Amino acid sequence: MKKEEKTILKSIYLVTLLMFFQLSISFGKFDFLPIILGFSSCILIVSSYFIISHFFPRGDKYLLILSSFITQFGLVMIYRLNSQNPIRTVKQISFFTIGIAVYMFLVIFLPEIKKFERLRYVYIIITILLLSSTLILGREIKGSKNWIKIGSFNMQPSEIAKLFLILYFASSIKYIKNYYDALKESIPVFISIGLLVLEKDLGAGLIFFGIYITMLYIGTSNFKYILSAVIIFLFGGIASYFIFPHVKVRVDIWLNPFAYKTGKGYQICQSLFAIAQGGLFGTGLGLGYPQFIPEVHNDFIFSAICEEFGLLGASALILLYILLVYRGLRTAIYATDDYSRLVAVGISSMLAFQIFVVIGGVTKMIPMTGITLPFVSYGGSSMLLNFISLGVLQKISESGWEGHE
Amino acid sequence: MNNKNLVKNIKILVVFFCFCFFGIIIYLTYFNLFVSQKIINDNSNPRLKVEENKRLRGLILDRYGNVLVYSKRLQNGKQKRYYKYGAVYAHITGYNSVIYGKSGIELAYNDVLSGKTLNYNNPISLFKRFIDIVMNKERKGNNIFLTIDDELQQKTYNLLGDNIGAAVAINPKTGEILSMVSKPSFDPNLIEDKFNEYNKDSIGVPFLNRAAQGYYPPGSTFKIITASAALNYIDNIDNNSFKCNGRLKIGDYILNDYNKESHGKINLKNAFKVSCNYTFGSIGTKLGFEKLRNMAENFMFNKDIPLNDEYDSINIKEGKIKIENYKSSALTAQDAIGQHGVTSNPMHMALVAASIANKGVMMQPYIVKQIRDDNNNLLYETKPKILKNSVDEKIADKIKDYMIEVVKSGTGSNAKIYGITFAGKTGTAQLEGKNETHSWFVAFAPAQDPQIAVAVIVENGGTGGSVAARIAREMIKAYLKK
Repeated sequence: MKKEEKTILKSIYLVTLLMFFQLSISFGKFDFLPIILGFSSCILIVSSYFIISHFFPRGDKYLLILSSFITQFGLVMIYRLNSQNPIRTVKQISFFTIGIAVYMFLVIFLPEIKKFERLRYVYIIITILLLSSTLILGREIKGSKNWIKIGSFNMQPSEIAKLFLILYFASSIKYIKNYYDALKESIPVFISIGLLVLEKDLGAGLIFFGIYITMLYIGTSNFKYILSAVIIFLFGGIASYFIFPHVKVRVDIWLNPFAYKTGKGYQICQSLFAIAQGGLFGTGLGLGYPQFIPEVHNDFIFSAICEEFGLLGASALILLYILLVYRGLRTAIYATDDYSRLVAVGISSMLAFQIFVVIGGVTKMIPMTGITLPFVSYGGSSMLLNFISLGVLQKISESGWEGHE
Repeated sequence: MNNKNLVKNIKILVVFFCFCFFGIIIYLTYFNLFVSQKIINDNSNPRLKVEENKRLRGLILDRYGNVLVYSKRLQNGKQKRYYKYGAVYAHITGYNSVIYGKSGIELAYNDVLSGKTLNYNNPISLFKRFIDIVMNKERKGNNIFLTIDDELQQKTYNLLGDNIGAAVAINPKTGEILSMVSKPSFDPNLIEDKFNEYNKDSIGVPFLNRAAQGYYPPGSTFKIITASAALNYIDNIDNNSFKCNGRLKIGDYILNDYNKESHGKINLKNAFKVSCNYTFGSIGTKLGFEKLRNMAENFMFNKDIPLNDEYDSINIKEGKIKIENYKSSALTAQDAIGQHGVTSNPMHMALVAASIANKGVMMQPYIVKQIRDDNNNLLYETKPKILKNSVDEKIADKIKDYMIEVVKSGTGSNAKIYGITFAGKTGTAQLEGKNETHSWFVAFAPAQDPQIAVAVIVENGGTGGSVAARIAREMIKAYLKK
């Protein structure tokens, strides 16, 4: 087991260093910074793996291995997109470091997850407070009023709210005995989704709903609830298409982006050009023009990967995500108690939906909703939250092995 | 809560997520196979401009190698396109603008000019290209040699002067377009500043290529076709004679001759010479619409005329012959003299004249003679191709004789050139509800061995024998002088 992990890690170091080495020579001159970045990420992975495998050998190490490998794609791409001004890459690698640190901290100090079960009203109050805080304190960035500013740090409360929603709903599910209970326990969730739509944060709304319905199904195995939830959601979706102009615009752009190619659909059209340019093998790292896509380092980083790594590289990344989600759900299966199990399901499906919604959005498979690609997109708050979720998963996996032995 | 159920549900969830993610991969594969080729050349894709700027855009030259359009690198690394003769070639070369896109040769041959196409398998050229890449030399696009004769083109442009109209000259034996001018024209050098001004001009419509895209009744020039139909379908018609009284009465409708002149007893040859509407109107009613239409379709009316080139750079509007009621003699008589339901453009009418000149065989027109790379290696050459066998050689010869008479002593005597046998036909196109008439002239010369066929239209230019005939004469004179 341990030997396998080491072989995998070695190939990860090799791929990471190769990518950074290519970056150092691909802009006409030899550049030392990417090499330094490559080595520091590798050292980070080496040390974090060492700590986890030595002091907490019972947990699932692949969660860390996979997520840090996926993060390398993001780092490489962010450096490549801002090669003239590498401040973003340096920031991102700091976020990565902080993320790993928080993850360690959680693994070491977090009490067992099942102890969190009692505080369910606290979670839902925090969730709703976080979401409504942006309505009062929020600043409008990129058309969505879902950011608040603390000092010089912009953050999206909806990212953290997701986690609290999972904690709340995991403990609520066992109270659901009949239809009336289901409705009662779901009201806070619908309030949260409503708030998100008001803030024009459609992507987060979609993910909230995805998490909610997945957990409801896993917890109750009752298709009647799922069906009613879907009907309510569809009804709400169609209503908001007619009520809110921003919802309608998104759908119209999705249906025919080239009709809006110089205006509101500019970004998605540029993204499609990038994907089309990539073809099967991609243009090669540093040889494409992904910088033509506005905000490419953020929501649209997947299109940049498609352009330079091609369909093959993009599929490889998607496979890595499948493995990560699989490891998360596997943790849920081996967990000892139902609460931990539901939390693990919630976190895994949160990652899965987020990945699906953002990749589907930038490739025009589904309407575009501005959210970040986990572990890859540039951004501190999303990186932090992803590692926090991972820490919780790790903790659950650890206790799961304990119970298994 | 049932523990086993929970685990089973989670396993279902794993399958569900795998399904979703593989769905994305399948969608991306589909996108790359079927969608990407369609969207990648959209003009809002900035990659195209970056790629294009890597190579210096190729030249456009006339048939003798005179440079007409060239590009130069500017200080800032971008390139600028120079149109040496500005408006003279506007409708042929088109424009090339970052903001407004491309048109004409610049659009149709964009891949050639920007050097993107390598599918011309000249091994020497491919080898030179390879060496250039290895040596890191600046790469250049391919050069396009037109069939245009620069001197004739300039002359044609000047002859049309400030008139609104168009003129086309074709080599009847090959279909090469020797000159093509439409007035008013625009200056492709100034397109970035003046695009909106050109676009707003609703009277001159400078972007309209009247030579190929015009929509005019051909008037009496259509009698070439009516006469061909008469000789083809009616036995012994050239020995019969008609009795013209200046007014052909068909039911309630009266078809007048020009100035209501009566020509008296007249045969087909003389009727053609003086362009007698009475005679041709009655021939039309005798033939019936269907026979007339068949002959017109032999001359490519109601049919798309594609260029013989690699890519279509000129879109020739379909000449039309139609009628609301097949049985109506009055309308057939009008169609027979090139009015009512008949429309055409100078390019098409030049082809009609050219096919009479070329013993009844219409050659497919083309404007790109050769494509050569920057080292002058030949990559592509257009070969002349027959478009349609329009009429028998005997009939073509007869029509040719009629057309010689038109210039010698008929309505086209203004076009006479000393020492050259010149065949032509005038036309005066009337527009419904308007007093002005468009002046048409189609011709070819020398009659015994035709080198050039022309068609000229001048909007509101009066009768065909006047301004259009003079322009055609000067064009032919300029071309044959050499």
